[in-house]
Amino acid sequence: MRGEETSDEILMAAYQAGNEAAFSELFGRYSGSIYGFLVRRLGDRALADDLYQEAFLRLHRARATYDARRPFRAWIFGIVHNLVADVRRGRGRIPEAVAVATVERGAEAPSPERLTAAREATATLQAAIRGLSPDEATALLLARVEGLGYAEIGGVLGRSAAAAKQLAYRALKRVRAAMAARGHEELS
Amino acid sequence: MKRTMPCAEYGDWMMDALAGAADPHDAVARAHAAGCEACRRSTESARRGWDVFTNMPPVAPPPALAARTRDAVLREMAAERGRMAVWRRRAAAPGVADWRVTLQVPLAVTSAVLVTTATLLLLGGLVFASTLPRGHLFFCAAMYTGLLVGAFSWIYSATTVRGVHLDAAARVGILALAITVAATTACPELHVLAWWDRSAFGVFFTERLGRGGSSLVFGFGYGLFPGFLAALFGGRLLAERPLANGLVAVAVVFLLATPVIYLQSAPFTAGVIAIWLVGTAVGTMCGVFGALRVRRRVDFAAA
Repeated sequence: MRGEETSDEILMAAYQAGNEAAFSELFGRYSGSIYGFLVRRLGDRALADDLYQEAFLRLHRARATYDARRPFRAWIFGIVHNLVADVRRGRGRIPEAVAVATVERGAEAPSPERLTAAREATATLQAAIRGLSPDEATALLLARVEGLGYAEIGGVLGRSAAAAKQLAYRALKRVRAAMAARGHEELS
Repeated sequence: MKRTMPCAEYGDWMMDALAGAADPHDAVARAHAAGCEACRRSTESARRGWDVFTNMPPVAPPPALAARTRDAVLREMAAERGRMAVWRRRAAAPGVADWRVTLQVPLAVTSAVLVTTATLLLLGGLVFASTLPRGHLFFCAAMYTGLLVGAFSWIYSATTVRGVHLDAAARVGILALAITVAATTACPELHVLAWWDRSAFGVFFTERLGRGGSSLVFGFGYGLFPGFLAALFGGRLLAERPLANGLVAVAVVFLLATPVIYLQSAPFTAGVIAIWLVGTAVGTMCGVFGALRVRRRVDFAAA
């Protein structure tokens, strides 16, 4: 159970002191989240692959700057958000890419029609996320997919919790409008 | 009195309720929605937008990529441990730790005086053969000694404050000073700016940009190359917090270059010198940050 696990902050303190096992544990906890965030945020798997390794190397090199009073999740996603912002600045707008339209494999195989519809809806959602401003996209993904609180998201973006909530709300409305405009009411 | 909820507060509640941070059955909010068509519509729209993500497929990193990434960080940790072990062995050697602490200040002062003397001797021809007043020279000696005592103290005590490596910035600054002094000494003319003004480039820029513009271009190059080379070869640690570390390194390089500029300033007007200094500051910044970008690309490719 997560409640009995060592907290991220304690693991981070051990990692700062050079403990490899602590790093491996943190890596295990956040590897998937970071990768998923990058893929959804960028809509480009090849670019996400490049930045994934860079994100962890940045985390490693910046570990001395981590303040244990801050939530670890906000800190690590702050590094990833800044990394994406750097890439955007360096390369201009992130190019339109092949949407990440993978479909979950459930216990029951979906019908081909359902599969196609799900792929299309995922692609549309990905396009809608790409149409958001960087801060809106980050706020929405962190709130909706990663489950961060608005105060934590504010910490990632360098804004207040209220501003982060506003960003997420605006992003939600824009995503919903983009989905509706393309005839996708829900992704199911 | 029955509590009511304004629309703005309802919007806040709705986002919290979607995120699971507020009670979705809150009676006050429900009462508000019952009487407010706009809020009802916006809730429905937000809920649908929120639900769109429900079946978004999970994405996992390819196992080989995850393993490579984890190994890259563990390799860095192992290399750092190796360096630390060497340092600890040295520090633990009998008398070494005490020696470092006791001699830190005298070493910093001695190093600063030596570098100041060497710098002024190398540039001495400029001072004694020109119309510079003697007070000028003493002023520069005092400036250099003060700046260098600080820089060497950082280096000898391996000073790092909140991830900003002052020792690395000082090393970059002293390396840049050495490059600047070497280049200035090697200049065929007594004053580098006079040499620039007579060169083909100087004439070209003076014709197009005037005297001030030409000084600005010269100052830019004067800061750019030493800053770039010093940060490229001496700035490994600066990449950790690139902005903060880079700005500190720029400040140190610029401060250490200023007395050289001051030493050569006698024949020129205050305006030309000021423009030269501005150009040097901008050039140093471009040089140091350019070198950090190059280092980052090289490190990334190597990882």
